[in-house]
Amino acid sequence: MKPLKRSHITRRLFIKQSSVFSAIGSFTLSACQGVFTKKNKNTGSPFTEYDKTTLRAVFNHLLPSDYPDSPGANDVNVLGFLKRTMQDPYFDSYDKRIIFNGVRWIQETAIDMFDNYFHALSDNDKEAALRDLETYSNGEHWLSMMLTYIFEALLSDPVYGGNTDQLGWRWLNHQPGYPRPIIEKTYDKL
Amino acid sequence: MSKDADVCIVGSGAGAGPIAYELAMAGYKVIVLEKGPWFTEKDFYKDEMACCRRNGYTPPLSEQPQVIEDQQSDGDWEAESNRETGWNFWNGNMVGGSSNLMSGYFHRMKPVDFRLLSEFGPINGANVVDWPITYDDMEPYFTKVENVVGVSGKVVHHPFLEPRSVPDFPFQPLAEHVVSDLFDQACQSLGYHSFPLPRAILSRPFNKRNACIYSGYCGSYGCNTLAKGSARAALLNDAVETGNCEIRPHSMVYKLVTNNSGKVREVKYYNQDGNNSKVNAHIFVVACQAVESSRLLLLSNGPKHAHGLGNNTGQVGKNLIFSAGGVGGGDFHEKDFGEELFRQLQIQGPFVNRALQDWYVINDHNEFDHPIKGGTIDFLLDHNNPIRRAMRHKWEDGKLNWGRQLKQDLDYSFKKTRRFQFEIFCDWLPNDNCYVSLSKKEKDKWNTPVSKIRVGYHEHDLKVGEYLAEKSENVLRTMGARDVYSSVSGAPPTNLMAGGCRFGNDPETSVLDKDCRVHDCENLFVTDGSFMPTGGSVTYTWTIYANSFRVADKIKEQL
Ligand SMILES: Cc1cc2nc3c(=O)[nH]c(=O)nc-3n(C[C@H](O)[C@H](O)[C@H](O)COP(=O)(O)OP(=O)(O)OC[C@H]3O[C@@H](n4cnc5c(N)ncnc54)[C@H](O)[C@@H]3O)c2cc1C
Ligand code: SF4
Repeated sequence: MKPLKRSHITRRLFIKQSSVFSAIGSFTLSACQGVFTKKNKNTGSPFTEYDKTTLRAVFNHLLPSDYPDSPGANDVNVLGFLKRTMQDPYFDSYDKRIIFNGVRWIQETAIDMFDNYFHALSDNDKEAALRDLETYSNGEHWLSMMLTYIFEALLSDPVYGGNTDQLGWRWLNHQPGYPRPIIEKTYDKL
Repeated sequence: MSKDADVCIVGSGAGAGPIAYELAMAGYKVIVLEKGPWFTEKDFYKDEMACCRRNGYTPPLSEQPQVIEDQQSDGDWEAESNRETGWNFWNGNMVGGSSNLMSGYFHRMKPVDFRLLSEFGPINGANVVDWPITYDDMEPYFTKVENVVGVSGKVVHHPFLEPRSVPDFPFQPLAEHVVSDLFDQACQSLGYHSFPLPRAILSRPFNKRNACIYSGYCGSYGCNTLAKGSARAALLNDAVETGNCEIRPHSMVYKLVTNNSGKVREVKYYNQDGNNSKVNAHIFVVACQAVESSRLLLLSNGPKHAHGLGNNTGQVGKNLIFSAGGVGGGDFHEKDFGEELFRQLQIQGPFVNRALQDWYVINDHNEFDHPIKGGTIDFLLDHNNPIRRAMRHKWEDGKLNWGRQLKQDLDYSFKKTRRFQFEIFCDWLPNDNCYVSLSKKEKDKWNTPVSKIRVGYHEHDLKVGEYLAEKSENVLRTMGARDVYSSVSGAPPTNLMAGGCRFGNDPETSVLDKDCRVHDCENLFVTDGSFMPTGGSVTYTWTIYANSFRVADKIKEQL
């Protein structure tokens, strides 16, 4: 069932819708889950290995590393940035749920459409899967969130875990302001 | 009976600073209660995440929400907590308030702004009134702000220049960007009168404060040099140094307690440990920024004020206003300007500092059958915030933009274009659908009802905004910008708010008397932007500062 074609939705509505969406889709995954479901017990990471592999593949598709003289999403550690952000004391629990749900959705979409893991798809198939997900309002919302985290990780101060070696700033000739934030005074510690 | 202080001030921003400064200098004992932390210039970093992507300087909305009520396309009003929507009406919560974060674009109000009703007549659906004071009453205090807070600029004559008691600014204009020349040339060819935009920023060292170092990160960021005229840098530091002013950060005031005769006896607040504390004083001043000042008065009922302090005629919270208008911009492309000029356009640090007020009153019979109040247009280069710049490329023709196309767009936009922008300021007509009340459902972490803010606007504001947007777009096109756009809407700029406790001579239609004293509470003053019945077509802070200096004189007379 694909009930939620594009519409303007408030966040509250979105939550309602997204829980509906994930409930419908979740069973399709069980067949291929086995390899990946072990939780990362020791690292405290919120994601399973499978989730991480999926997310890295999504990030790399959204901001690829093959464009000349520029970093891709994984070169600037978007995943690490996202994990840090999700550990903020005031990180929104709804947002957290959407992030997790979105990973499920794209995993399921890949399997529905191509009977394969998202990360194992060709570029063209990845594009098709992501564009399909985008036609759902909540899928679009998740992708939009992922792009926001990509921009933040690419261009925030490296103190937040992204923008490795200032690769994002260097690519876009960005001159940071001074003084730059220090680890003891990031936004969550003000 | 001995009191903790002569004067207790709630809040520490632009409305509070002049009171603390003047009274402490005059030898009175002052206590300032501020809900936020006390940062100094050493605590500010050029951190886009802290200022602009997360709530580094405002409270977590999960703990201190507000409820916003706006009109849906079907005409219904829908109230939602910003715990859900993230639509944040808090600004800087810290010693010095949002004035720490302002850009410091400073304009005086003009004589005509004090007489909006008499000059232009009533407008259906708008609660327009004249002020109970005139420009002449305020002029000495506008001048005082220039000297004490420090305003840099240069007087250039133009059709709507306001009268001044001193010929020019005490501080020279700040260093200007090459684009300012291009702007002047374009205006000249269009017959518009461009003039240097005054700034509350020091162009030379003054009174232990350093001159601006052109950090390139000003608006929304705290200042490390004390050059920006925040209430903290320009006023509170000096007040504290007298030994007469004590600032208590992390002090959330939740009630003004009145006695049987209706006078304020003490204020109650939660300190950093969450414990209940209180301060008594002879005189109390509320300056929590417009929305929260109304909230505090509404929370403070007492023997003579059953529905909230100063609210016996139901006026508290009413006639909240914002800065109406809109924003717009356009892009300069390297291919149009050549490598060398474009390299200069890319320089960051110096300011554009240009404004137009040619249409402060619009007298255009082709558009309007009688003269109407217009406004101000300020021009600026796009802020350097790179995340915000990148976000503009997230959507392309209604679809999300990603992959090689996204990278190409980012590459081109950052390296080959520079955005030039304008901000339009016109009157937000006060109306019955723009007000603050207390939420009946939503509470903050101290279990206190939060502000509920209805944000209705008057259609007339859009007409004025659009008229000015067209003029602004002309300038940008003449300068050679591409993709010129503007956006005029009734969405309130949440950082530019005033009203809610307007002053006036009639207690039936106002909360404060002309000295900004609550009509029926002789020892309580409100000195942030709440007092303004209309806002003028300029940013508010110069007026807030000036009025607060004016009220300080009245308080001295009363002590
Ligand atoms: C990014 C930004 C840019 C701006 N740029 C400009 C500009 O260019 N030009 C201009 O004129 N204006 C500008 N402004 C607006 C300007 O900052 C405000 O007009 C001005 O600071 C308002 O003064 P205020 O005293 O009303 O409020 P504030 O300065 O915000 O001070 C209110 C203080 O009260 C405290 N408070 C609130 N409730 C309580 C309570 N219950 N108990 C104790 N304390 C409390 C708050 O924490 C805050 O510190 C800008 C604002 C922002 C945020
Ligand atoms: S140094 Fe100048 S540009 Fe930088 S924040 Fe201070 S006033 Fe603004």
